[in-house]
Amino acid sequence: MTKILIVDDEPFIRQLLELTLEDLEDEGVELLTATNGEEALSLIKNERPCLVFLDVMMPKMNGFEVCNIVKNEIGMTDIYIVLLTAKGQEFDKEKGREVGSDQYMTKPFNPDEVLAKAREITVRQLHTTCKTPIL
Amino acid sequence: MAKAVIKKLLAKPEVLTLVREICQAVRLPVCICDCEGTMLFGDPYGDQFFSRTISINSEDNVIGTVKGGEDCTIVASTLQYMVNAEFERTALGRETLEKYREISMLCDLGAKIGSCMDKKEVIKIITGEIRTMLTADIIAVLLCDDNDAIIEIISDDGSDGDLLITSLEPGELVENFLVTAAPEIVNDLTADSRCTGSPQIFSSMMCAPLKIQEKTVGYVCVGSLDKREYPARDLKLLTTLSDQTAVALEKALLYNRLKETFFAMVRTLAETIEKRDPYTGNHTKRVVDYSLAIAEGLELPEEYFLRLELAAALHDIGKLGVRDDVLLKNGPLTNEEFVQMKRHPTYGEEILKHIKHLKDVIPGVKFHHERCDGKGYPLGLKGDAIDITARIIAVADSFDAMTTDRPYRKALSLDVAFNELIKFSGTQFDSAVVKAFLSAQVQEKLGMRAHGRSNTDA
Ligand SMILES: [Fe+2]
Repeated sequence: MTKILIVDDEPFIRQLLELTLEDLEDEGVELLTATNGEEALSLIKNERPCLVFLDVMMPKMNGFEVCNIVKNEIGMTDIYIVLLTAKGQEFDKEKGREVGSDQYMTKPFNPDEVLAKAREITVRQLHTTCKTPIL
Repeated sequence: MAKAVIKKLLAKPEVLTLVREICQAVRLPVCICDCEGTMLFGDPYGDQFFSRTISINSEDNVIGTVKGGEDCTIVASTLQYMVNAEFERTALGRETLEKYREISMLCDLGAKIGSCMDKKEVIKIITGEIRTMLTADIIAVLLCDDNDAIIEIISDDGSDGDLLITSLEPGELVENFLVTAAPEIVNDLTADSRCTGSPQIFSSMMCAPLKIQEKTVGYVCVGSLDKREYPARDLKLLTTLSDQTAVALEKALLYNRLKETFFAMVRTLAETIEKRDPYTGNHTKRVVDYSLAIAEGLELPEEYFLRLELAAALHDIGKLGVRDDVLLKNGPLTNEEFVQMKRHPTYGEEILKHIKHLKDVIPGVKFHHERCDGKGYPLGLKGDAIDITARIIAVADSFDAMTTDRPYRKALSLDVAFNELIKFSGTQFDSAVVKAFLSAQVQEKLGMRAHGRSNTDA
């Protein structure tokens, strides 16, 4: 099952992202949500989403840390990670590269852009098999 | 979303607990299935006890079923209630998402036009954005002067902006907009008494003012050929967009004014040198013209032209640093005086380096007496090591010097001067630059061949 994980501590943003992606649910994609970094990490390990929209500024464990663990420590490199950062706060591109994120988007996000990216990744997922060993 | 809603509800621990507790109260097995019959909750082997099947609906669609005994209606009603609430929540959420889409768009737009310093560019971006947000056949920005007269119409497709205005003029509608300076929707133009002009091409339109410091400088107009009912929210959006445009326009206007002032000062600076040098009458202007024509011949990029123009205008600015008795000397220079004179490109650099915005102009000034064979001054650079601006100015400058009268000799004819350029092409001059200068296209542009000018205009 193709899964997309939405991680943000703001319920409003989570719901908007869910709404943005709800068309995909009818196409058989499962949407998962997490409200902080720790929760996100355990969902990533257990549910293996192909795409994660990951807020950077979060309590407990921030997006950079989560991304770093996923990409560099446990080596789940085939998970596509989009970091979400608030407009106005400068995104540290160097850091983004370091932790292995695939892309970043600024909030307010553009719903069309988010949906297009999700479509692209889920379609790609359907055509390739998962290469990372199950942990 | 519709199909998955029951599954999603049951995925929430609090909902699952609630359903479980109700089922225990009913004391009979109950199962809940999605619309495809997949069991989401309940005892898969309890089928034989099930006497009732109740469907869960969203609008007219069955999105799932509850199966159980007579009492299972209690579970079904609760679930139906939760499903309804969920749909209401999503409907609200969708509206919010629409608003959010607008916010995101406005943020992007702010960033895009905020850094844009060109009036036309600002308008192009804004009309393009309106095109994606609103339904319209024409989107145009009308700019007016201090007397509220329309001076410019810029439409997003660049074509029928005039159409909008001819369709309204000489009606009072637009004038009225300019006076009231309030955003307005006119959903039926034909019925509007202010439309006194020629037969209306557009049926419905909206207008929002562009205000810079309380002054209306123009309008953003949106027009539809077919009759439309533009809702108030469209006008609100248009107003938000026009406010943002006004801010960006003001910035662009201020920037352009600043730029104009700056160039005026540069030109004044260039003129000061002409005032000191008696032979050069209009020399600077001709060097600028020749240089630009050559750059066109070389097909250099548009954005390069300004730099070249400034460098050409300022190429001899360093002569300000040369003593009068050397600069104005009527007769051959001594060696020591010649050394003095040859310092003018370096002096030029010294004068200009204090002006940050002229940084790019310096190489053209500093190296305009370099030669391709390395025998020039001040550094003796060779070939491509010499900035292209300097190579162009060298040809333009020498050509004009040859074709104008000097105290010690008469002007050469154009043909003799052309031959000199050819003769020294590759040694003193860059051959590509000379070739461009002599090309028919450049010659025609400068009116040298086409008008058969046989001698100088100096
Ligand atoms: Fe010179």
